[in-house]
Amino acid sequence: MTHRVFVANRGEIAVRIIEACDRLGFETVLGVSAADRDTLAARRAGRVLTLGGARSTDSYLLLPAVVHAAIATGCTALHPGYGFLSERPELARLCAENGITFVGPSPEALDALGDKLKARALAESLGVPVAPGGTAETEAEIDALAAEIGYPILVKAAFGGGGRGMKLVHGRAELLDAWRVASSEASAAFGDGTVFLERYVTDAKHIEVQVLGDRHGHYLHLGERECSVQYRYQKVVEEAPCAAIDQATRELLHDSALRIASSLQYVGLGTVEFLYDVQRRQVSFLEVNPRLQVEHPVTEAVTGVDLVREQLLVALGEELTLRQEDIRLEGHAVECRITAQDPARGLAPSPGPVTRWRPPVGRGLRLDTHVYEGYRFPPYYDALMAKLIAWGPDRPAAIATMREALDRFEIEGLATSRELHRRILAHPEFQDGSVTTHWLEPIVTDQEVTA
Amino acid sequence: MGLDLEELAAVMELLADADFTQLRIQQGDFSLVVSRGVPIDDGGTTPAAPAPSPVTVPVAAPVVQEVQPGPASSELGADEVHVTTPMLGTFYRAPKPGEPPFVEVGTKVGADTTVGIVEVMKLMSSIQAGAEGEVTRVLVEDGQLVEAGQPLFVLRVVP
Repeated sequence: MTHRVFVANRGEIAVRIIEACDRLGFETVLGVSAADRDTLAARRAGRVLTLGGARSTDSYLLLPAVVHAAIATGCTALHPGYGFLSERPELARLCAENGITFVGPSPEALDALGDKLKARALAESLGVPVAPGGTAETEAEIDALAAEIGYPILVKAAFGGGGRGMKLVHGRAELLDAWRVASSEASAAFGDGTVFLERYVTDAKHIEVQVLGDRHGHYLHLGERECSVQYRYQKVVEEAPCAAIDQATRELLHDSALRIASSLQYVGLGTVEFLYDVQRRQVSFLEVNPRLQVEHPVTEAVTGVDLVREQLLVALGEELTLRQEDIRLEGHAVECRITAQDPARGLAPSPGPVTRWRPPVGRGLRLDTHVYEGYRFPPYYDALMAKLIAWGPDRPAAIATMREALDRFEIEGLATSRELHRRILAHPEFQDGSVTTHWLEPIVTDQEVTA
Repeated sequence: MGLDLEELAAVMELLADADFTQLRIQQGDFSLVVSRGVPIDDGGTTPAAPAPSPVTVPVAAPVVQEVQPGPASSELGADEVHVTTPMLGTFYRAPKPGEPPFVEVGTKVGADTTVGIVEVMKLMSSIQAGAEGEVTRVLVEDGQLVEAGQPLFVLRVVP
């Protein structure tokens, strides 16, 4: 049987999925918005259907239209990419009910991981380190719990995640107000007002472990990535492996991620995110992202594994041919997310026509993109234009390759984050591997902090 | 990519010993389907006969050629307009199977006359004519998948 995969996404990741399907000999059907009919993915897909209007709420987020289109075009599988509908248990359920293979974990796993409080409890039950925290009912209990954890504290929404639905509390005076506001905001945004407290780590690295599971009880990890260069919880630069931890910490991370994956009988690709408290030298579980991630190419660069191919195959029921001992890391990889955002204006979105687009080519470079010269970058969606990935035999070599590539990358017609990336990569603190998740903010906001 | 006869023969020879029933290669305009023992699975969307590329069609233009071509031309005369569907779904011309269609060629409609139904995952939405006039062409068959923005009928509008 020839598989036909419905691609329920856009941009660079739609192109990435279509290319993986092409290599496997699978047909593709792409659902697009009215604004995306002339994208690169639309040119590459076997068939293109317009789901609805330009805004994602009128197209990419229309769950019934997406599933209807997949059924009506005879698709055997649906790949949700990242963002949009990718973590919605209803999508996984609707696919299953209609005989379409959802390329992602089971609806049950999505349910369990969508609730951050449940995920935290699961991690704790498996002996995976979590930051001090929990939830409470009465004002007195909340107050007592906060005192036990110690300030500063984060109030987090159980159904938030990725930086959404969080409030930072510096002292007892703000606590109960923050709790109430966070709860009502969470109720409005996520349909559930459950919130909990967690210790706020001031100086932390973001480290995440890539896991992969099949339907035959095999689970493996593909090492870790570091994504500490963030701006307002948006990752900007990622790398693999993390050069700043010792072997014991690395093994603890890998082992914790595998325990979570196997306890959920996790099928497909997933990422277990952790914070590494630099001062305390402690790891704590953050959340699991049950999908393909933007930054997956750095893992591919150091392992040589085509993650999207493996993800498609395990979803279709194939047994993993890779074993843990086959996963060998070689060298170091860095990824820069080139976005249509203006670093001179606090990374404000800067959509518009791409009048010149000359990406660098060369040894150790990869570019994942949907942009081409003459493309009009639309204002409706995420600002990601391209992911530039540089590989080198070691971290300094990868950084050197990336810096050279950024210098040679010619983009005109709209402001992009390329300049910011050049400054980050040239910065001694980035080069010595000591940056934490709040490091980038003053560099973006304060023009004087330049290398 | 492209194959000359010699390369094709080499491919066939390599495949002779392979365990397969159907092989499909597509790259750009070139496509090759080789089948053994089974009829070629041609679901109407096989790369061997690709639909006209959607990217060559301007965004605002009608995109009927994306799905099977309708039985009538979607070209508009000077006094004609399209009735389009705002949503993707399955198009039905009648309220129920076996019942007469909402409209036929020649039916006079008002702006709020229902001309068809689009079903999205069991949810039915009625489509209104949107203008006063007379149906001159029916562009989509009953039960066909339609895309958002796709023209369904041509109306000659009342001046």
